[in-house]
Amino acid sequence: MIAELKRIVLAEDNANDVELTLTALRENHVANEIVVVRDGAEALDYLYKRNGYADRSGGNPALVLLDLKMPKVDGIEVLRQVKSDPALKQIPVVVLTSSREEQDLVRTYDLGVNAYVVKPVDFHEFIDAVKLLGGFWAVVNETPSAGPPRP
Amino acid sequence: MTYINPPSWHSLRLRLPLVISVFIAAVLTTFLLVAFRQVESALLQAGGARAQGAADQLATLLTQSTQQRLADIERAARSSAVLAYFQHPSDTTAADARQRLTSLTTPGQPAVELWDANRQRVLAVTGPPVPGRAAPARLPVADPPSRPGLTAFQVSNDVVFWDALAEVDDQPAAEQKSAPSTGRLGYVFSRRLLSSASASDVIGRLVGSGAVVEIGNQTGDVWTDLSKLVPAPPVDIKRNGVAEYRATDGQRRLGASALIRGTPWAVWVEFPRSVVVAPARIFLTRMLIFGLVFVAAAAVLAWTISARITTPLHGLTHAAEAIAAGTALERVETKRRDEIGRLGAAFNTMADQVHGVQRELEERVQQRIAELHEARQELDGFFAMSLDMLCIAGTDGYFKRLNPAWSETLGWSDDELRSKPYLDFVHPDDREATIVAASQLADGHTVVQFENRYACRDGSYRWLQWKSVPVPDRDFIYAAARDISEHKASDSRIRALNDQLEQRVSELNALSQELEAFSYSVSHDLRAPLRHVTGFAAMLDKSAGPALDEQGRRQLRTISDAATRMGRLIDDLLVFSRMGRIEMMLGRVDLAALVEDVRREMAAELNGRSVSWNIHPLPVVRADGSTLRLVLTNLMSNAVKYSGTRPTAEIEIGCNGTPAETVVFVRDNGVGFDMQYAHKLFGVFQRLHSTDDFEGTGIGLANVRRIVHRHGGRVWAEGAVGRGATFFFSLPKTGDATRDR
Repeated sequence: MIAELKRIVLAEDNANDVELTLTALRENHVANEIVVVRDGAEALDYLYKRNGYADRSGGNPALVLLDLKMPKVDGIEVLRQVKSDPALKQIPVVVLTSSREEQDLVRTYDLGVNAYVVKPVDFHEFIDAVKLLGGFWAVVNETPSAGPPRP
Repeated sequence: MTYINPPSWHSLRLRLPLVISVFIAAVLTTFLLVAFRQVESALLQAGGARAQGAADQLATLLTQSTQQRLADIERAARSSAVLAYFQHPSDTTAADARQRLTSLTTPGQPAVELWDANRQRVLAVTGPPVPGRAAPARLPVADPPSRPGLTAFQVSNDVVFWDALAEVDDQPAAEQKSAPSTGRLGYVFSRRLLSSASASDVIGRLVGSGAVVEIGNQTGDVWTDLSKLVPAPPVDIKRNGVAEYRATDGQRRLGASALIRGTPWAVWVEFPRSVVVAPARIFLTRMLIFGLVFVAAAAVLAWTISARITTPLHGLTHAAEAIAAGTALERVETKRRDEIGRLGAAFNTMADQVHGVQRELEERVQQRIAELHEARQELDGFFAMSLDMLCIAGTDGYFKRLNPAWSETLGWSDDELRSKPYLDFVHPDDREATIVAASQLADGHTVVQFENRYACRDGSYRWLQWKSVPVPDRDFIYAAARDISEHKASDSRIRALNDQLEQRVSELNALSQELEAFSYSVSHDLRAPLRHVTGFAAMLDKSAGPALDEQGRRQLRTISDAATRMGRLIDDLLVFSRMGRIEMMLGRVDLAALVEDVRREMAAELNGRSVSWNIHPLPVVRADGSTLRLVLTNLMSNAVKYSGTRPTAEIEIGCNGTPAETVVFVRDNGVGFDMQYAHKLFGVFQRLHSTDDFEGTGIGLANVRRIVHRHGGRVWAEGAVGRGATFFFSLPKTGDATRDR
């Protein structure tokens, strides 16, 4: 294992979904440490290193998997803050949601989301989707913190 | 033709002869007067000449007779007998002298006397007496002649006389002239009375009857007409000549004077002027009679000529007046060939034309009147039958004319409505506004959309809406009122309904938002548990699968399949929901290309099935391309799906256009359907076949219907069990679509 593997933040309020997502990531052999936050507020705390995460280690995560429907602060708001903050906007954010609503798609892309994945009902399809995500965003994609991004 | 009009002073017919007559009379009168004057003048001249002639003759006669007398006396004075008497007075000589003197006497005349030198009478010889008459008394010699000769006339006791005196000289008569007288012995004195009836008769016969002869002294002191003393004529009698004077009785007299030579006397012969000019008067009288006859004849002639000229003119005038009055067609006689005849002919032509024009005009007027009458009747008809309340009102505030709609609406009779000012019928609350509207009308403005309430006979009020137009210069307004009470009532109902509707709309909007929120949460929250079911089922299968028997694994698979199907249903339902809200982007869509596109996409899913496509030519339509693609995809995949039991699916796609819409159909030879359930075909989740026979969620045709409806079109289907089905949908042909083409 490479020690410098960055963390993946999973913002998801539903415990079943957390378990399914974690299972899917595991199935796909994603080695990055997964930090699960249960709502938008906690996700922002983690990213800004405040409150419960004030003294956490490590820098920005390699990837944020963001559910849209969450208590307190929803995914859209988290996305808006991340993408409007110069310190955070380099972090790839993938919206991972049940919704197929057009309005959500439009809004998230307007805010600068990096990918939008509808969670299929069928679990096998879901695993395939996560596999693609994990492979591309967490492993392959390089973020500017390690130098200029390579296409 | 008769002309019974009395000739007026302006009538040519009377004036022409009158003028001619007056003219002729004037000329005649002038001529007569001139002629009369001429004749009179000639007569006067002749009378004057005649008087002068007579006077001259008389003068000559008297001259002769007096000279003769004087000569006789002088001869006697020189006679020897007289001389002897004076030289030797004796009885003898006296008798001789008396004898000698007797020859000088005249019967009825005074005596011839002998005077001595002292002028004392010494002898007197009287003439023989006139039988039956006394001898004239001896007249005193008031003024004895101073010298020999004739004396002037003298008067004594109204007797006119004259004296003659001759000297008796001692010279013999033979020597008288050669030697002057040496001594006067005496005188021979003769006195003669002038007045004598016989003399005046003689003279009268001499001069002519009617004439007056007067003799007198040239000095004018003694004058006589030989029968009595008369004043001297008031003319210059000291010379010969004709003169005229006006006598004291007013008559004019014409006369002539002549001097009697050798005497201080003069003769005057005069005629009454009237006598002299009598022939002139007779001439004048005759000429006057002749003139009157002539004038009368001329007048008759002029009248005749005038009548001949003016009668046709009169006829023309009469005819022209008749035409002017328009009473009847008048024509005039045109037999004459002169100017009047031509005038008559021209007049007749004109009369014909006038009559023709008049008849035409009359016809047109009649026609116009008929048209007006008809129009009036039409208007009256409309006025009477109008449902609106029409009226004419005066600016005095009263109705003048109302149509029956008033009585029908308000219940008042026509007379009742017109008997009071219309303001009395207006609701008290509306009177002020009505007065304002009336003043606007009085200022010449049209009033529209004015509303007020009018009292009905039953005490209720009706809302009237007015349109009123003032009639300039006529103190009228035309007004039309409409009973809008029902409108007013329904207006308030509509307002209430509108309020309700708005409330409903806001409710609907809220509902719609709720629905949006609902579908949003459905898409998120309903799918999550399904995902969990499949996810955990899959995990269970992986971890415990080997331990489960075949039945356990099948049950686990069923759980997963059911959840998956549930997810698909939810997805379809969300799509259907979205179809109701999605924005239509209308544009030109090539149906043929779209059908071909869909067919190509479906080819991959046919799994080797045999499908015979029969695609007719399809038009370009105006529609939202993406949703229309969904429609075609649904219909075509349905056709393929429900003809799956056929060895070869025969699918026909075509188009039946009408001017208003394009109708597209998709026909298959599949299992078809029972027409009695046709109405269920397009409902959500409505299926005529079991999922086991034909898989599907039952949302496809609902989507088709929703999309087509949103295009303004219709969907329907025809079919029979086992004999295929035909699905139709129509798209309206809008002007835009036509233009786009």
